[in-house]
Amino acid sequence: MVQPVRRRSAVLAWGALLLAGCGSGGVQTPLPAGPTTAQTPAAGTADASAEEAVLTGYLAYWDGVIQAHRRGDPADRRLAAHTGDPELSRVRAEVARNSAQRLSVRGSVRHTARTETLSGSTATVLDCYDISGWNPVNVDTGKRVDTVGGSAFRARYTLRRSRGTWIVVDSVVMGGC
Amino acid sequence: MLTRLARAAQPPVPGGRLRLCAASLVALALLAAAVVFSAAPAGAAQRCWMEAVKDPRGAIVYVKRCETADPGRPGNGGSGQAPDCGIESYRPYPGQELFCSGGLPCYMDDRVLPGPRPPLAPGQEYKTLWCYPCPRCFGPPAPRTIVVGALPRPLVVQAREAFGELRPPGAVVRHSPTGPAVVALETWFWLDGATFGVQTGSSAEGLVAVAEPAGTTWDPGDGSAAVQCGGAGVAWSPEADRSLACVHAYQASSPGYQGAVTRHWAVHYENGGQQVAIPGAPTELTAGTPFTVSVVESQVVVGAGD
Repeated sequence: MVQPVRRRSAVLAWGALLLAGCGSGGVQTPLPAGPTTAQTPAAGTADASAEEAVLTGYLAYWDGVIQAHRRGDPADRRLAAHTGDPELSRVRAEVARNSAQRLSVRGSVRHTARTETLSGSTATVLDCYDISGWNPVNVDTGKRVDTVGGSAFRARYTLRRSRGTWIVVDSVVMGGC
Repeated sequence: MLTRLARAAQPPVPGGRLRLCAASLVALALLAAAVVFSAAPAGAAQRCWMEAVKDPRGAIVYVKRCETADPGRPGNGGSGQAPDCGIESYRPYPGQELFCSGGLPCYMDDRVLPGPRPPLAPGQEYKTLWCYPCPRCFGPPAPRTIVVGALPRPLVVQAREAFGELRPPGAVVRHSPTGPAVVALETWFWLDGATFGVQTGSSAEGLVAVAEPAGTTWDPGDGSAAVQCGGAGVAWSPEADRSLACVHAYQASSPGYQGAVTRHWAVHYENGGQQVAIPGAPTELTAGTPFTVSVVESQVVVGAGD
């Protein structure tokens, strides 16, 4: 089921234009011609609430990632609560690297995510996420560091159910979107 | 004196020709200004600058860009155009390369600043970036630890590298009869099992190409159609499963047909044990191995047994 997901501070109208090429549709603003509803239902007979729970876990993971990067704290507890290895080690390494550069990444990330597969205690989420509003700040000067590079990426995240919640355990960035 | 102290305590300050004049601070200032702004661009055919690149996961990596400078058209740091941060006003020490970063003249070295240096991705390293406080001005440069080097490569590039690491072993071809084949009788072909197994190769980032045996194609060498087999074939025996056999019947004798077997593997990719679909990545691995089979008339066999 295609599921539009919106960060608390996201502005979907802007994001929709950027993310229209992701193919998953489902955003709430006009898109180019093409399907705007689910094309690839999650495997099995998982119902919408189960897929919703997966996406909730997925967004909680991102909340942890963003908080860890903002604080420059690889040991951030929210991150640890919603992430498992190898993803946890990967994110911690990136936060630590940015922290060594005296950088704090601040802002928000926009998502257009859907549950791709859901089987037992494993699920995958496909997301086309936009990090143009998530930028590094030099913690010594307080000034934003100008960056270049892409802003919207397509990625697949693997989640595992752990103690009743879904945590992200792996991810692969597949390219731009 | 302030300038000299700064030079002693900090990396080189622009204007290497600066001389101290004890007569007056005014003279010093005038001299300094003259030196700073007089250094010619010494035939700078190329301008370089550092860009902070935000990777898909938010990690910041500094990447060096260069382009041939156009003296008549100062850059603005936009796409593909070198920024103008007043580098021409500085005369670097030998071996020191100045470039623009964040609108300031900067250089890099390998000094280690205090603070942690967690492990980096392959192809990346820590450097110390020193930037002057403003374009075309004096003042000690401020140091900062940065990560420089390669950005994560696209998955398809990683996949091709992993694919290139697949090194199938040489095939060992067997057939039955073990000596010359016999005209009009079936010859069974197969491969030693160890030569047709699962192969793996990895990219620097850890993406794994997994090649699983998918079948073999046997060219008997006599001009007839190739024989397709789902596996490596099976050794002949009275109890052998014929459905697994790769069989061909030669129709004419020869001292040596030049045949060949091609092994086919189906390739997929895994990241952390999870299969990953990567558009554009190769999905089939093949390896060919020639062999020679002599074929005799059946009468010869009968005669030999008499």
